[in-house]
Amino acid sequence: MHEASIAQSILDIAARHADGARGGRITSITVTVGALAAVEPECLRFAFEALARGTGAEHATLEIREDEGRGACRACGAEFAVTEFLPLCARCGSPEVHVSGGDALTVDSMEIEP
Amino acid sequence: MKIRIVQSILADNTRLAARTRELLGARRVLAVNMMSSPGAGKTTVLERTLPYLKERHGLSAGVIEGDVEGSEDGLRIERLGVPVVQLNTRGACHLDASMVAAALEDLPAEGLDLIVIENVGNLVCPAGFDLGEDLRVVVLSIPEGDDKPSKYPAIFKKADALLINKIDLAHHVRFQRERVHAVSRRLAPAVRIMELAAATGEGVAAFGDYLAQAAHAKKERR
Ligand SMILES: Nc1nc2c(ncn2[C@@H]2O[C@H](COP(=O)(O)OP(=O)(O)O)[C@@H](O)[C@H]2O)c(=O)[nH]1
Ligand SMILES: [Mg+2]
Ligand SMILES: [Zn+2]
Repeated sequence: MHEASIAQSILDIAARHADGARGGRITSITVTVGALAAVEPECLRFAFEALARGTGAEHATLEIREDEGRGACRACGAEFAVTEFLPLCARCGSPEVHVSGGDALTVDSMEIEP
Repeated sequence: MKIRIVQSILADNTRLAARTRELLGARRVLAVNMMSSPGAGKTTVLERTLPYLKERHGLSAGVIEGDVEGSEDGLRIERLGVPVVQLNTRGACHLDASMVAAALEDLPAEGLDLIVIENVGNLVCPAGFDLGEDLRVVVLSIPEGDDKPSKYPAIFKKADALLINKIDLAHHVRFQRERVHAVSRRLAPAVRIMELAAATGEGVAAFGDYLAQAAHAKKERR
């Protein structure tokens, strides 16, 4: 469950920025989790809720945005979005696809109220 | 009020890993991150490979042993006369860069040519955490089955080397090596695949030579 470490890092980053903005209650945190980042959104949400208890983010909702990877077919040259590690070419079906990106893990923004 | 942040969630880990990479870069010490499920044979591979590296190539290794609990593996390495630090993660399913940076302070600062970090046995969680290593070595053992690269692709995608261990058991289990080779190559086209049986020593020299070459390359890097 490395999602627990990920959730803790999200909370740490949010707390740092909330302090920078002189406190306030965090009402939502928006993160991007790549489809190929090996992070399960459901596990992340579960860990986030457990770890947020008793912190300034206790009532914050976690908005998770997915980030897709890019596939480039070595056989036919097609380019397409991928959400799997072992995609088949969307045009010709070849398994020889070069996959890049899709592994983003970022905290994008948060909402605080006074 | 909306606050824009746009920061990598793993930024702290990445920063510490970069510091380790810089430190070991200055010392010209090769760092290897070894990952597998529990029991694939990481410690056994080290028990065979480290003496070989010393005798055949004159290379000295240090080891950071990551386990959830216990010091059995650390003791196994210590018996070889190899400097070792046992890390207990107390439940955490992977090592991170801060644990490794702390453990490095307990290894000799001089006289080592390479440092091997044996990660916590787990095919999922260690994949995302940079430790400051030069090489990622994934060990897959025959009894685990040939479907593991397609079921746990993240870790195989980042592998520089894949060791297929326990080939002495190949006659007892259905395991299509070609399938493992093919899927690993789709995930990591440049991966170096080696087959071995750490328990008998078969194939250990090839892995040792691979590490020796990488350690020498790092020494010569300008
Ligand atoms: N048959 C066989 N058993 C092995 C081999 N390598 C390791 N083992 C056994 O697998 C078990 C787990 O090995 P260990 O090195 O502790 O795995 P680790 O958890 O990955 O460090 C031990 O009982 C080893 O003796 C091998 O090449 N062949
Ligand atoms: Mg071990
Ligand atoms: Zn194609």
